[in-house]
Amino acid sequence: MSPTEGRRGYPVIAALVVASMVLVTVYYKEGQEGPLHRVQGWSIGLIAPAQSAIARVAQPISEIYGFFVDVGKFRTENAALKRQNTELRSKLRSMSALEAENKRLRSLLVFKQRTEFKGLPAKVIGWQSTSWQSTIIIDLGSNDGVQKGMPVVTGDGLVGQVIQTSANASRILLIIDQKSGVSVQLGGSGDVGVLQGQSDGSLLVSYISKETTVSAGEAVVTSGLGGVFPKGLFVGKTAEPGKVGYNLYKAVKVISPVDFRRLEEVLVVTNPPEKTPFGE
Amino acid sequence: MRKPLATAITILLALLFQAAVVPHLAIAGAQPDVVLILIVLFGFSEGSAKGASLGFVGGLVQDLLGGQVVGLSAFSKAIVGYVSGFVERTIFVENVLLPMGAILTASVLNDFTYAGFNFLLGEKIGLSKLFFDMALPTALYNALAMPLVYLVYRRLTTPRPEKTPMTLKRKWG
Repeated sequence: MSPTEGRRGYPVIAALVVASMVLVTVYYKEGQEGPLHRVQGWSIGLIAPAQSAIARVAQPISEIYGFFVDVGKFRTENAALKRQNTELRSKLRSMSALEAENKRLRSLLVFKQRTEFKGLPAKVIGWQSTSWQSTIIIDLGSNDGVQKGMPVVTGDGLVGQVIQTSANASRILLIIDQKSGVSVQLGGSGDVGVLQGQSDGSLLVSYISKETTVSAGEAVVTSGLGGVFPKGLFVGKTAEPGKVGYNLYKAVKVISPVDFRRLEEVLVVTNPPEKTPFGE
Repeated sequence: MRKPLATAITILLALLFQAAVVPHLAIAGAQPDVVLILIVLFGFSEGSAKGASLGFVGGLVQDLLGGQVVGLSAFSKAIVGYVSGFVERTIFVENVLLPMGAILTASVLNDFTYAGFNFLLGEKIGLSKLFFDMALPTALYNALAMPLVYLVYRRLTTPRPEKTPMTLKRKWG
C-alpha cells in the first residue's frame, strides 16, 4: 500500500478511536445493569456451548501438546525425585503414626466442610483468551442458582469468584488475575494482607507489616474481611520470604496448590458461612 | 466465495479458535493472539482503513466475549490494523522473516497501546514487566504462529480459479 492510500485512512482511524473512547466511558458509567454489561452476560451464554464442544475436541490435542512441552521439565523433575525418593524412604517408617493422625483430622475437616459449605459442582468449559485477564467459564448459570460474587474453590484451594452470570454459564475471575484482590490472613502471625495476582501467574500478599516474621510453608487463608470471600478458605502456602528493601510493607509470595491452567472441575460455594475453620 | 464474507467467516472462526483452543496451547503463560495476527495480515493486504475497521470489530467482539472493559481491545487492535496498512504487501514474497518481524512489532504495539489506555484508566504496570513478562512472550509466539495462520487465511480468502475446459482436459487427458 502506498503512503497516499494510508493517509486516506485518517478519518476512519479518528472515528474508531473516538468510538473506542465512547465505549470505554459508557462501560464505566453504565454500571452492572447497563447494556454493554448485559451484552457481555449474554455473550457467555452464546459462546459457552461452542467453547464446551471445542474444548472436548481440543482436550486430547492439548494433552499431547502438553506432554511435549513438559518433557524437559520431566527430566529435571525425575532427577530431583530420585534424590527425594532416597530421603523419603528413610523417613517413611516414622511417618506411619503421623499418617494415622492426619487421616483422622482430614476426615473431621471434610465432615465439617460438608456441613458448613454448600457447593455446586461445575465443569470448566472455557478459558480467557488474552494474557491481560485470567478468567474461566463454567457450565452453571443463574438458572442453577449461581450468583455474582460467589466464591469458587477446588479440593486444593480457592480459585476465584463469579463476576458474570448468564442463564446457563458464568464467568469466574481467577485469583491469579492482576485485577483480583483477596483479603487473606497468614497462618503463623495472623497478619492480614491483600492477595493479588501477578503478570507471571504467581500470587503475592501485600501490606504485611515489616516487623512480621514470615516463614516458608505457612498456611494462607481468606480473612473474611471485605465480605466477598468467607473466612478460612485455604489459598496456599507462603514461599521463602524475599528481601523487604526500603518498602513500607512486606510482600510475601504464595504458592497455590491449584493448577489454574488445567482447571476442569470446580465448586461454586452457594452459602458461604459467617465463620469457617482456620487452616487447610 | 466473496472476499468480505470469507473475511467475516475467517475472523469468526479465529475468535472461536482463540476462545476455545488457544488457551490449551499456552507456554509459560504466553499464548498467541490469532485474531491479532489475522488483523495484521488483513491490514497488510487491504490497507489502513480496512485494517483499522477489522481491528476495531475483532477487538470489540473479543472485549464482549472476554468480559473485559469494552473498547480497550477494540482501540488497540484498530490502531494495529491501521499501522499494518502502511506495510508493503510485497513483504511476503521476499522473506518469511520480514512478516514475522512485522507481526512481532505489531504485537508489541498492541500490548503497549492496550497498556497505555489502561494506564489512562488508572491501571499501572511496570514497563519492564509489561515488555518482558507480557508483550515479548506473546509477540514471539505470534511471530512463530504467523506462517501457519497466513496459510489458513490465504486458503480461506483467496478465490479458487474456475475450472475451465482446458484444465478439465488436462486433468482427464
